[in-house]
Amino acid sequence: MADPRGAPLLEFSLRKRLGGFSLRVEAAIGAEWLVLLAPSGAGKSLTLNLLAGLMTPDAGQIRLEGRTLYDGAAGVSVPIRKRRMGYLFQDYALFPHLTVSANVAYGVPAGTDARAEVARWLALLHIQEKAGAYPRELSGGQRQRAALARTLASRPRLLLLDEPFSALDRPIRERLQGELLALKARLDLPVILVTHDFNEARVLADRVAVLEQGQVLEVGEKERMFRRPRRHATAGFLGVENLWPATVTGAAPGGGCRVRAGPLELDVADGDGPQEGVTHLCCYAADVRLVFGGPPRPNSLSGAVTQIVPDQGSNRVRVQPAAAGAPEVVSRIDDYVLRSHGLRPGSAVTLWLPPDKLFLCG
Amino acid sequence: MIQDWFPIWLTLRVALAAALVSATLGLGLAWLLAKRRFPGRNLLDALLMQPLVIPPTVLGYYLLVVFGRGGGLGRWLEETWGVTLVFTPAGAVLAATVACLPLFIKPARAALEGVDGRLEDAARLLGKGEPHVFLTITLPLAWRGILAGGVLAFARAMGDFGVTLMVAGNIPGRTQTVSIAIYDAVQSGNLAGAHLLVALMTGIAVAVLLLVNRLTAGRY
Repeated sequence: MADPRGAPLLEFSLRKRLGGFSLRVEAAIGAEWLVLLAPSGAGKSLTLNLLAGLMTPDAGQIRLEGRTLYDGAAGVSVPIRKRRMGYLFQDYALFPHLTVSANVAYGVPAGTDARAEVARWLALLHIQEKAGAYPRELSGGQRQRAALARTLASRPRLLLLDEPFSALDRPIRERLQGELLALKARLDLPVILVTHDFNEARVLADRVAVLEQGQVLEVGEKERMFRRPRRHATAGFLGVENLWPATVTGAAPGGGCRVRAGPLELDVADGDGPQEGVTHLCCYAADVRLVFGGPPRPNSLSGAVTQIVPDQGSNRVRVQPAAAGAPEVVSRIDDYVLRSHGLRPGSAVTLWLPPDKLFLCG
Repeated sequence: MIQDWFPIWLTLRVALAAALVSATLGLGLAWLLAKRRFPGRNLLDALLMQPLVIPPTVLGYYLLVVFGRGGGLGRWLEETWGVTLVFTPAGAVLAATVACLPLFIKPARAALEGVDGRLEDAARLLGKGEPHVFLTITLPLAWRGILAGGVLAFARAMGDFGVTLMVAGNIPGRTQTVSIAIYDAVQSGNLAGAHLLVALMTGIAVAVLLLVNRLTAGRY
C-alpha cells in the first residue's frame, strides 16, 4: 500500500450517494500508478471528480503529501485551485481560443520561466511543431499530447487521467501508451488512471483496483492482480477468458488440489485459492495449449473447435470439450499453428490446461 | 429636412448610457443566473424578465413610485446626492435601462451558459481563481453573445416609448426622445417630420439586427 520510501503520498476514502447510486472507495498510494478498472457507470469518473473537488463527497477524507484537502467530519474542503491536482479530462478540455503553447502556459506556476517550461513540455510530448496551432487544428492524438503537456506544466502533485485513450484510434493509442510508459519514470508523483480497458492497466499500472457499482471489488499490485485475482468478477475485468464455477474435491496427486468444473476433473498446482464452498476455476486463454499426440496426461481434454476469431495477430479459438455439459474452453492460438494444422470450426483437437497455470478464485 | 436634431442626439446618448448601465449590471446578473445555483434563482429570472411582458406604462408607474419625489429612493437620491430622476434626461436613462435590461441578460446568459463548464473546471484545476477564470476563459468564449446582448439592449433603449414617457415625460429640448418626437409629430399633423424619424429608426433597427446575427454566427 505505502510508498516504498515511507508514508503514502495520497490517501483517500470517499463516500457519495447520487440518486440510487452509492460510491465507496478508498486507497493509499505512493509515487506510483493506480489504475481504476471498471465498466462504465461504476463510479470511476465520479471518484476523480470527488478527488479534484469538482464534486463534494458526502463523507470521507483526502490527504495529499500530508496535507488534508478534504475532511467531511472536520468541515475541511480545500478549493479546486489549491489542490494541485492535474486532471486530464476524457475530452481534454483544451481552451479553444488559445494556441497550444498558450494552453500549456496557462497553468505554469508564477515565478517559473513560462516560456522555458512550455518549450520543455511540448518537446517531451513531441508536439512542439504545433505550438502555434489552435486546438481545432489538432488531431485527437495531438490534442491529448497538448492537454497532457498543459496538465504537467502546472506541476501537479497528483495526476488524474480519465480514460485518456478512449477517444483515440488504435495505432495512436498504442503509441501514446508507449510514450506515457516512457514518461512514467520521469514523473515522480502519484497517478490515478481510470479506464475500462484492462490492457491499459497491464501496460501502465503499478497497482490495480477493480470497481463495480461504486465499490472496490479488489485492489492489489498489478502482477499479483493479473496472475492471481482473488475474485471471479475481478478476473473477468482483468481479461481472464476461462472462468468456470467449480468445487474443490480433494488433494491432487502431484500436490495442489483437484477441482471439479461441471463434468471436468482438473488438477490445480497452486492450492492457495479459496478452498471452501463454491469457487471459480480460472485460466487465461493464452495458457491453454494445443497438444498433438503423445501420452495422455492429466488436465487434457478432447473436443471440437466451435469458433475461430482472429484477434491481434493471434486467434481466439473456442473449443467444446467432448464431455457432456462441460464448459466451453477458450484458447489463444497463433496463426501459423492454426494454418499448419488446418484447424477450422469442427476440427477435433486436444487441449491441455497446465496445472500451474490454473488458479482458483472466489 | 429634420429641423430639430435634439431628439436624435438625446436618444443616442440615452440609449448608449442605458446599454452600458444594463450591460454592467446585467453581466453580473447573467453570470449569476448562468453559473450559480441558489434559492430564488427562478424568481430572480422571472423578475428580471418582467420588462418584456409587463405593459410599459405599468413599469413606468412602478419607477415613478420608487424614484419619484414621493418615493423613498427618489427622496433619498435627491436629498443626499441632489439627483432628480423624474422628468429629467437621467430619468430617461433609468427608464431605458429597465426596459432594455432583459434584452441584454437573455443573450448574455445564453452565451455564458454556452461556455463548457469543463473548460472553467480545467482552468480552476490549473490553479486559477474565479475572477481569473472569468476573465481569461468565460469572457473570451462568450464575448460575442454578450456584445450581441449589448447591441440589442442599445436598440431597445433607442426605441423605448412608454416607460420613458411615464418617467421622463415629454419636454421638447430636454427629455423628448425620437420615439416621443414621432408621436408628437403625428399628433400635430407634421407627417413629413415623422417620416424622416421613422425611416431613421427603421434603418438603425435593421442594421442592429444584421450586426447581432453576424455576432452570434461565429463559434469556436
